[in-house]
Amino acid sequence: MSRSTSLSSFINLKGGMAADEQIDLTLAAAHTEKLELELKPLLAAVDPATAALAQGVLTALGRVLADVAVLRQSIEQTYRSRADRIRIDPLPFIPQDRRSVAPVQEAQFELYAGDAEFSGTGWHAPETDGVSSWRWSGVEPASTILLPTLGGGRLHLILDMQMPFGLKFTDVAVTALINQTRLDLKAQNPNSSRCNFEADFELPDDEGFSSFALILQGERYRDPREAANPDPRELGVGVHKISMSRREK
Amino acid sequence: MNFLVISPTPSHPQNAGNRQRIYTLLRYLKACGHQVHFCFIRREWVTDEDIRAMEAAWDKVTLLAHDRKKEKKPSGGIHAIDDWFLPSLESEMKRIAEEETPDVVMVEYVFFSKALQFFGENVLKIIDSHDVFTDRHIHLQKIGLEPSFFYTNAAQEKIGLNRADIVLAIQDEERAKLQEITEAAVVTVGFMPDVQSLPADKGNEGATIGYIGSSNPLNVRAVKRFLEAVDPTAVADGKARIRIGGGTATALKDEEVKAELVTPVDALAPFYATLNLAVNPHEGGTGLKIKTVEALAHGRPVIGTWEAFLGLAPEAAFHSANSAAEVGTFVNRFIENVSFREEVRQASLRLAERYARTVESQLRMFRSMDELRSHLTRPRILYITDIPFWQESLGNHARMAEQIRAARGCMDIDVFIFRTLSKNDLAAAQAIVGARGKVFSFKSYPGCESRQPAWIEASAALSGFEKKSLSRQYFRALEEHLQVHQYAGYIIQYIRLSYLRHAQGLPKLSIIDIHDIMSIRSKNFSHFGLEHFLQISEKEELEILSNFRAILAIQTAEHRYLESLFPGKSIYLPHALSEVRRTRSENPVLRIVFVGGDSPMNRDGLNWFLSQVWPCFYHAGVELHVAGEVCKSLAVDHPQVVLHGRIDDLRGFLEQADIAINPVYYGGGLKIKTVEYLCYGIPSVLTVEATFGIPGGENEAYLLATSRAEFIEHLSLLIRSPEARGALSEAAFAFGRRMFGVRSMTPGLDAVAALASRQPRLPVEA
Repeated sequence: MSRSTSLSSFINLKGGMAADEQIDLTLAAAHTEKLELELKPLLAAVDPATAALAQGVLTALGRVLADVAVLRQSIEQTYRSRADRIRIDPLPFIPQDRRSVAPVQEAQFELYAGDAEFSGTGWHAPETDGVSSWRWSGVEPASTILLPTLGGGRLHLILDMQMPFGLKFTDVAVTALINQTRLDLKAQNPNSSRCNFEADFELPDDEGFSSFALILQGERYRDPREAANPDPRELGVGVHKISMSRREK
Repeated sequence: MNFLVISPTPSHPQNAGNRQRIYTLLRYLKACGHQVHFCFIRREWVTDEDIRAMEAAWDKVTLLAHDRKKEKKPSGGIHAIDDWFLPSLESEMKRIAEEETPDVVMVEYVFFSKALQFFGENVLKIIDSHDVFTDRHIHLQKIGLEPSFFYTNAAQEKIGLNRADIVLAIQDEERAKLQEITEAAVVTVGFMPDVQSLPADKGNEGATIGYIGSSNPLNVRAVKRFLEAVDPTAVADGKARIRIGGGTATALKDEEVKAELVTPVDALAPFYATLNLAVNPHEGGTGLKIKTVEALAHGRPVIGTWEAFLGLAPEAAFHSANSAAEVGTFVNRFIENVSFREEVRQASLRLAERYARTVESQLRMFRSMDELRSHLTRPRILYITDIPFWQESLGNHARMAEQIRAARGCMDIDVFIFRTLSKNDLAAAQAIVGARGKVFSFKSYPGCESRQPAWIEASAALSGFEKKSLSRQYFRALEEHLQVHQYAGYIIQYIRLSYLRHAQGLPKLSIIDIHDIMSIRSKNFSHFGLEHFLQISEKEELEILSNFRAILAIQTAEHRYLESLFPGKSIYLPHALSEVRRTRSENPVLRIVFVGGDSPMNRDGLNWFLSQVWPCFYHAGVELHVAGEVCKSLAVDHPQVVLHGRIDDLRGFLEQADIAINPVYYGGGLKIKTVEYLCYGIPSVLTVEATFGIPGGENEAYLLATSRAEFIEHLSLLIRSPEARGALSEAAFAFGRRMFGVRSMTPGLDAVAALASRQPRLPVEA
């Protein structure tokens, strides 16, 4: 964080030396006040010089009593129960996993269809041929998946996709949306059944914890083969891999 | 597409903010390949040359005569919505509507919205609002100005706005206000002037600071206050040069000011080119400040007031100064401190780039009719809750209210609430939900009285926790509601209502806003030997959560945890605060504050602070002010402690704070009070628990105490050092705006809206 006046010049993080001193002074003052209260009638009866002398003695006595109290507390500390220690200072007992972690923004992201993290709606279960895995869309008219925003800004997306039943991407419209904005997908080799589609898009800047919805819409196909056991499912375009990287922020 | 644009303001010359706005918007339409027919109602005077410029810029220009003297004067203290729409215009509009059928008719300003009524249902109707005119006169009077131009009340403005399908607001705050009034879809489309950004200065040259504005008394007053605060020695020594241009300069010409008065200013770019810094000390008023946007668009670093940056979502304290005088203070720092100069330059550049990108993405809706019409079919989401969110007095109220306000930008919201609503409650809740949504109380359904078991009680689908939490009246009433209302998705608030997910008639898109992971919270309680009031095992809680399509996580630690368990389900949706001013208190006796409800976490934390920390400050000349229901359970005789109890004006309370503390040491979720301290820029001492789930900021935006000694030391530092308080306040404010500004909710809400928009769409109910 850039600031013109650095806080580091104000904060002493070396471990409560000043606080210890302040606690000691407070304790001493508390003892002195108690003595003053007890001796108030006597002090009121003496002349000012004696009263000043008595005040000095009481202050010194307050310090001694505070030292004795600190000493007693130090000895007692050894025997104190956990509950008692929590009562006095619970802050060191707060579990360390509650401590804040500064955000780290990833610059890229990859997700394979076979990954457990590949989750969303409208997708068939993952399939594999032993080399690669994929998931067909088409369970619903639109298939969705939540992906990380990588902190937003200008992002580049690559969708490694496949048409079902050996069909080719030529003349097929695949619509992808980022949230509700249509992506301008560019196919690398549309005259094939498997193809990388790429697009640049922008998201609002964020701190790197947010998600956006990738939505795929398109035709759903029935198995055209006249085999004995045709695939009974309606399949939309399949996804092998989703890659994303941040161009700039 | 064919656009017919009806405007009482010319597009040429672009010598006023509204003209620039219209010109930029229409240029974008042209760039998209659309035809623009500009129909100029001659309410403002232009030269023949200006008319020729308009004819050159647009595909067709129609000029319609207008006589301002015939406009009706305010009656009953306000204008009626059609007061300025003269009878002569009616025949002209009829003629145009007969001659052509545009795809879109756009009217500039709501007080000319009557023009929309002459076009058929197939024509998409848009109002470019420019401003909110409801109670504008009251607002002007408050800041010492005579009401002028157009002003009306909500009922009249509603009549005008409802004539449109889509209303354009120039910034989000106005969008929220207009959406409270109208059933039309209100969409923010900001404005960034289409100008060449000037090259950056080298940073080490002398400081030339400038302002350009009209002779409006508000401008003159603000500039005078600003000049009074600028260090006279810096100007006298020649370290800084101040240039005031335009009508403001003319108004100041007879006064002795430490500035060079430049008048007239024929062109903006040469004026801005002479500046190292532009200032906007504007005080009061609403709306987007074209001056600020203009200076940013020209690539100038800018320092200005909170009002000057409204709608731009600034983060830096020098982009949100509390007064014109504070602008002067920041300018003094700018003159003296080279690194601060660079900081202002960088922050202004980032803000300008971000805002330009935002406007560009907002304008994209004009690319096609499909994109425009998509705003008419926003997904309708049902919030299911028992939280009286309209009270906005507790953290969870505030979370829900802010969430709904922000969600209205991309979804239509109905609320089903398990509460009896008084007339006032209903009105307050409805104002938050907006005119496109509706609030339903379960009390309106016969099921609320039912003693008969609900079918779900015999179902194995109900978990043990859900069985214990179940209210058959709630369940039945909700099912009755769903028999007549359909939604694209629903959001249940808190796991204690999770059993309602079984209700018949709910849509497929199921979302839960957990506010907190209860089992983790229970664990944290038991770590300190305490029993949590709501008991659920981790296994059962996670099982319940796994049934939802999406889980809204309020803070980052819980989001990470949920994401690791349920990939692709957790959506980070932090609590966010609308733009608030940075607190700058100067109390003679320093005021340390704590705000809290009557929860065991607050009680125990504050009691520990009072017994173990506060005695060290009995004689420090400071006071602790405690607000909220937590006061109920505190002893009243602590020295130097003022208990306020429940307060209605939290904002006022926080604005009076010099320092804040949050001594809680156990709990869960996100500590809303911590978020509030940060967003208000209150220097604060916080425990680790108080910052749970807030990423970063440790000892930069707040002081973290990991022991009693550190708490005392940090508090002691803030009490004795105004410099430390000032630096921490600025850093806290910037951090708070970045992490918890309304903008922080946008990605999460957009994702929810996108998931919901894939569900069957339903029309808006009358």
